[in-house]
Amino acid sequence: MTDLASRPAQAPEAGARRRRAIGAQRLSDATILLLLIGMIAAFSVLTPAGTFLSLSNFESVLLTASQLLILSCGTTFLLIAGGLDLSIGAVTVFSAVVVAKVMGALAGTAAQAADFQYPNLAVAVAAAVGGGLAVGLGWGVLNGVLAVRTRIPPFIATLATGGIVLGLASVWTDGQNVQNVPLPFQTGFGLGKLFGVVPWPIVIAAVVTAVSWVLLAKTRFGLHTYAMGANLEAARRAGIDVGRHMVLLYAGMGALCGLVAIIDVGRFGTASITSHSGDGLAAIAAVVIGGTSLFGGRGRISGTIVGALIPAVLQSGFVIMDVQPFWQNVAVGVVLLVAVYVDQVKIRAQTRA
Amino acid sequence: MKRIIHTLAACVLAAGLAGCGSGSTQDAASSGSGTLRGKKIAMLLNDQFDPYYLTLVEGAQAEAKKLGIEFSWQAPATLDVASQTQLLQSIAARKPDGIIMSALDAKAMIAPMKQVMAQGIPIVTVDADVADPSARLATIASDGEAGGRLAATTMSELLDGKGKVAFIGYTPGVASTDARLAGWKAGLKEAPGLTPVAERYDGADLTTIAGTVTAVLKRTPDLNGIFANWGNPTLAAAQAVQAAGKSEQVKIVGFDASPDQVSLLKRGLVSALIIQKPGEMGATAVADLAAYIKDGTKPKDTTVDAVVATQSNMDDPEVAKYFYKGKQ
Amino acid sequence: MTTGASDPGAYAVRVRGVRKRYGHVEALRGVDLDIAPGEVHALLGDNGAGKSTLVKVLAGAVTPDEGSIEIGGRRHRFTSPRDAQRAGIETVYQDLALAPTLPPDANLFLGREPARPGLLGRLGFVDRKAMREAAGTHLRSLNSKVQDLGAEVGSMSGGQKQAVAVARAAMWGSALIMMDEPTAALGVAQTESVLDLIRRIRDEKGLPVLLISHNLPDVFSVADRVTVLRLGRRVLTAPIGEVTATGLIEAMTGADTLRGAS
Repeated sequence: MTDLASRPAQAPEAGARRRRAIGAQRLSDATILLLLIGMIAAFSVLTPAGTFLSLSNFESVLLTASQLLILSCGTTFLLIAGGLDLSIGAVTVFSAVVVAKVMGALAGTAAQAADFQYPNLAVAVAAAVGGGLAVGLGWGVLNGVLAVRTRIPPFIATLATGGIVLGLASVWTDGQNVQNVPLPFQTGFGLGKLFGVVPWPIVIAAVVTAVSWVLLAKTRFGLHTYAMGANLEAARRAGIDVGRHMVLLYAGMGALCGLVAIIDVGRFGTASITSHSGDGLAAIAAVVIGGTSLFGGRGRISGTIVGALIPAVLQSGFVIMDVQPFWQNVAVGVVLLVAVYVDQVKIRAQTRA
Repeated sequence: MKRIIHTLAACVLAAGLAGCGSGSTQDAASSGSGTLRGKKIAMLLNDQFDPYYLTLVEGAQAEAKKLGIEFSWQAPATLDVASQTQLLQSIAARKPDGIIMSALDAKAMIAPMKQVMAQGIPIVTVDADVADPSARLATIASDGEAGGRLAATTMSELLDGKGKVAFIGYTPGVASTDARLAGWKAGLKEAPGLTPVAERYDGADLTTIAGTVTAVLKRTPDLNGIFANWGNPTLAAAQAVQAAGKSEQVKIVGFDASPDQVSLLKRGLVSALIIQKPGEMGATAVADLAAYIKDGTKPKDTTVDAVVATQSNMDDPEVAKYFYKGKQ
Repeated sequence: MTTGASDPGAYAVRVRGVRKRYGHVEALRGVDLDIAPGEVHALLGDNGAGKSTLVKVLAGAVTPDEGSIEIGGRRHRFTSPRDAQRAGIETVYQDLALAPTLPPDANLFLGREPARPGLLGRLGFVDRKAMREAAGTHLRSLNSKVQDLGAEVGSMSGGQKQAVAVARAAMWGSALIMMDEPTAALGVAQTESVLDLIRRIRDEKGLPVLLISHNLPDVFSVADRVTVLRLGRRVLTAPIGEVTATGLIEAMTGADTLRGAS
């Protein structure tokens, strides 16, 4: 029997191709981290000592990034599996309305709230948190079922559900911020810190990120997510219930929106209709900047962390340098272009095979 | 990017809810004046969500009901000149007896408005006017510049005339933002003890605005005051200042008086609110148009002033009546 | 091994009287097929002869209207590809059905990943080390040239991809490996390596292979027996030594009917 490895005709060529592909992967992972480090270094030099480069600013940047990071974790899974969710901003707003309304209604009467008295606070918070998560999850399931059953491209399907969800939230609230969120929820949770050190939103974002990382990298669920985005038909033939898996991913995304909504209500004591309008694209941008392929099958949470931090770092740096935030959009756009270009190079290296 | 998703979402919203923000009152049969019976006034709004505009509608609606005029209002799905022009044309096509609108762009809206006026439909602008007075019959302005000036005076009083202050706005180029900024700057000139250290624009997202305010506090740790140009920056600035533990040091002067802003004032997290009187503007606009329709009385330009609400005067009914309407 | 023994138990897979009708078209009109243990059995036929329908029936992708499938003497009825896989039939499709962004080991174990022992396993943790080692051992046993178990399959050559797909089938198949035109897209050297792989599956693993091919030189190079379908019927089954290329073409086109027709 011939040893196939000894055939010289093709092995070197294939090897070179493989090295190119792997090289591109490592390049993008490393370049994006280097870029972030470069930004931090530049801002540290360009801003007065103790302003940008300080522990408290580090905390502020993480706090600003925490919500985008949570949404980006869910988006990483979706993009890897070949899905997409543009409705996450709207679902977050809707969930926030539910959280604020439920909490305000159950905590006590309007008269009691006017005097900042909340006799049923514990019940109200529990119900509101549960309700926010459940409603987010529910919209996620709807998105998933639409994506799986109707075959409407998710770009369109979630764009539509996003409009519907935001519309319903606006109709429900007359477009106004929801009032009477119990103050202790804001002071205890939204402004509160774990052990008096780490703000709760950062703690939650860290837990979500860690769980996402493990789920994606270590488990069967994660592997199947990659397989679906790489070749949906292959995943189906391998016996993976791709429909169920996809619905689960969208449902998880929705639940994460609910989580962000809870943080939002905690921080600002209100549910604001006009917030989160750019979250869907911002999350996709962060995830793609982090090296996840728009074409599915490839991506990592580590990259997503970097991608989600970049806008917050730019914002903090630019404000402290007193540069207008429009430059932040310019910078994120440029980084996004570079990231997608590298992604394309990778795909080309692969399909040459 | 935000803009795109906002526009797209709004388009879908518009398609989904068919015409989005609109409403009408048809009380023409009630006791009103004979010559005004069956007359129609249409109002073109910039935003169907903002309590400010909703209060404006309420004032106009109440006045129309009193006069027996049929009143309807609409808001475009997106805040751009093209969609406002389109909406204006479609409203004009229904031949109302008068139109009340707030111009999105002081220059770009001149031509489409003149076109409508040429069709014999009078236009009165409220809140935001155009640069050419011949493009409308009259303007009922809430003097944004005076409001900004009032904010500076109020800030100066709060800080005993001395300190570092920041401005947080929606986005440059929007007439109301620019007017308030101009008034704020003019007011600061008269209060030489106040040093402006930052001028930021951050759209509508609470998280983003809070991040910016936090960074402003990093840049200027000894900041004394923030003028938050509208509702969301007021909320976000209060949160960021509180999170930074600087509620004592940094006084916040907000603009507008939505219920959650009033709640912040009550809790002392915001020191003062500059309140416009959108209800009065709406009522005046309808009354002016009605008079013109009835006997051709050409209305005069009117400026509606603003009031300052602080913790000490907020329970005074004369102040509290200007708090914007919030639905629960 | 390659003789047409009459004892039913001597066959790994026995197909009897399979019919499948799509509307007015009768794709299979009562086809019998016997595949002996450890033989490479080539399935030939012109377009529309019913080859792909028969393969789909065996793969569980199509449920026949009539007829039976016996594996090792036991009757089976497949209503899904999963059923066929459980019965030990693995198929290498023409598109290979590989996940290009995953490494070979993850592809070999796709949908059947080994779990970590204990609680972690129950939580869905994959034992990647075990997976990589088992994949390496298996690929080496097939003398596969796929060496870099960390590389993405998508970055590999066509022959290597084919090797991964075939290795996966050989790993999980216990009754029959079906290959649909495995060499159609390959160059000469790569074709030769795939044919080697097929022989190895037969010789090292002792598994029968059903090879669907248009390529007569391939068939003569690797097959032990050959079956020809025409218009939904079996027209020929014979040891490869007893047929000629001309004879096969005549059987496929209907120019003549050799012996063995049903």
